[in-house]
Amino acid sequence: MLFDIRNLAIRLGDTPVLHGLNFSLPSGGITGIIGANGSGKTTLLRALAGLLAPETGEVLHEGLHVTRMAARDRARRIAMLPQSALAPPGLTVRQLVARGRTPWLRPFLPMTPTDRAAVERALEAVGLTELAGRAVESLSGGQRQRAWIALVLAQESGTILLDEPLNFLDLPHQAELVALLKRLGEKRSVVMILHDLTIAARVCDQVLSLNEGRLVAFGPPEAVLAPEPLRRTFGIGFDCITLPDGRPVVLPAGL
Amino acid sequence: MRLAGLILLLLLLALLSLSAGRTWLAPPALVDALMDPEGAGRMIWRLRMPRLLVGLAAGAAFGLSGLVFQTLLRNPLASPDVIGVTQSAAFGAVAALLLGGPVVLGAWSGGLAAIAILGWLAAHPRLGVEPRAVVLQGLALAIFAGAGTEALILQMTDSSAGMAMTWLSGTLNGAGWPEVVRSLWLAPMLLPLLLAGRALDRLELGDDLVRALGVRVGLLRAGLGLLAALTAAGAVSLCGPMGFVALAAGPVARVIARGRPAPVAAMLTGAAFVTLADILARAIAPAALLPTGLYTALIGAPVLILPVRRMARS
Repeated sequence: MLFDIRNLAIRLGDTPVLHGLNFSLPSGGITGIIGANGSGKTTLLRALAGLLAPETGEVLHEGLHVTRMAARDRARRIAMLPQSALAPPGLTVRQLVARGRTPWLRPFLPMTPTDRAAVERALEAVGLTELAGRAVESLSGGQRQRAWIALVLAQESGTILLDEPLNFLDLPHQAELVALLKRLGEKRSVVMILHDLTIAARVCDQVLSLNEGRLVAFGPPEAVLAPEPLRRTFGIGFDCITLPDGRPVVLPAGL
Repeated sequence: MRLAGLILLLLLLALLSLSAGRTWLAPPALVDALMDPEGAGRMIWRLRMPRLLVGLAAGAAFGLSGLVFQTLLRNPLASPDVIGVTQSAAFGAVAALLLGGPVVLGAWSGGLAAIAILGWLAAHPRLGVEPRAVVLQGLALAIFAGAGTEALILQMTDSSAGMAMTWLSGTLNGAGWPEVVRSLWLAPMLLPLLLAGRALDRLELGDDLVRALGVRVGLLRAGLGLLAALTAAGAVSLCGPMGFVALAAGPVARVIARGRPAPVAAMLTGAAFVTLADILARAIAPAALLPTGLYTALIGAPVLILPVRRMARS
């Protein structure tokens, strides 16, 4: 199993955010996390990355406790891209992507040829090789998002966690990134938070839905993105159509 | 390349500083004086050389401390002289003076107390230390420590109060070889900060991403903050709380390093800054010997405005 989540409860300050989650994610493929604002999606993702200490319960990644791993070892296994990552000033695309090699660098020593090769592969994978020398500030929104994905790719961890990677992208850029993520899911395990349910239906191999810190449904997209589980996730009705390829298209009812 | 230019500039300023003063030395005379410490160079070696060295050390310390705090707190204004570390160190130093203890220890205690107070006040139960809270509460701490120092000075006799006031604006007057030896105490703090370039660089990516990259952010931030506070306090014990050096050196060093937090550039910028101010202090009014800190503020303000405008444009 990629992740085993047992009785996971998390409190942020005085506020309980997650209430006793139990589920297991298989290795490989793309898992989508959906839910309303404040349902605990980001908290769950941060807990999977080992950035939050559970109040009770445990998060196991391939059988190991994520909060007990040494920070560098964890970073070599699990990469996470937060939602609002800020590009530091004065970096080129290649320099930004190279930051993803941090867990592999020896202290105070420069990158090795292995590190450089990983950076170039990551740039290639997102199609930014030509723009690698440009300043990050000069990129368009879609290009910038691809640069962030490349940073996470350069980390070369088997598991990649993404917090709303499609946010603020227009439709062509979304489609481009979705294709990239699908290719990614063939080689690594990807877990990502998604807002757009129809896109979730098209990209994800399985979907997990949260409501107020509790697991509502977990399974293949056509099972989770159905009117009844969606009503329990978001508290409103949904109209669902199934496309010829079997994937659902979802709209709030009455729109 | 730009770093080489900075080093060259610092060397030129150092030579100029050795020739500046009530009697200016032309280059040949300076060379003669440097070659002859016992004869023609007695004044240079006894007065100007230690003064230059102490200024370089203090400037380097202020500059480096400024860059580290500004990067840790993600705020180009959050230098030790804005968030109260320098003022608390000055309070500690004046208190040590009044009680007859060693000034260095007083300054370090003040600086450490400032860091402890700021960390304690700004620690958020959930988010850790919130940078904006540190800066705002640091402003209050600076005012509070400044008032405390004034209260201490009121306890002094007129003549020592006058000396204390000069010291409080930051001065290299009276810096001699004993102070040079004392400035060596800065080395154990400066060295790890000089090597912290990669750490500072990573911290700019934001806490979650850096932690996911395997960096232990809390430990790093506490360690760097402590070292930077001790560095600034050590500099205060050498030449008083010289204003604007730490504040201006960070942004200027960033312009030199194309936006990156470069410790070496910050250190060289701070050192160049103090050296230039001290040349002005001795060149403009050699008889009055106004405190060097007056001139760091004088050139610091415009020097600070330039990079801030440049940052705002990009």
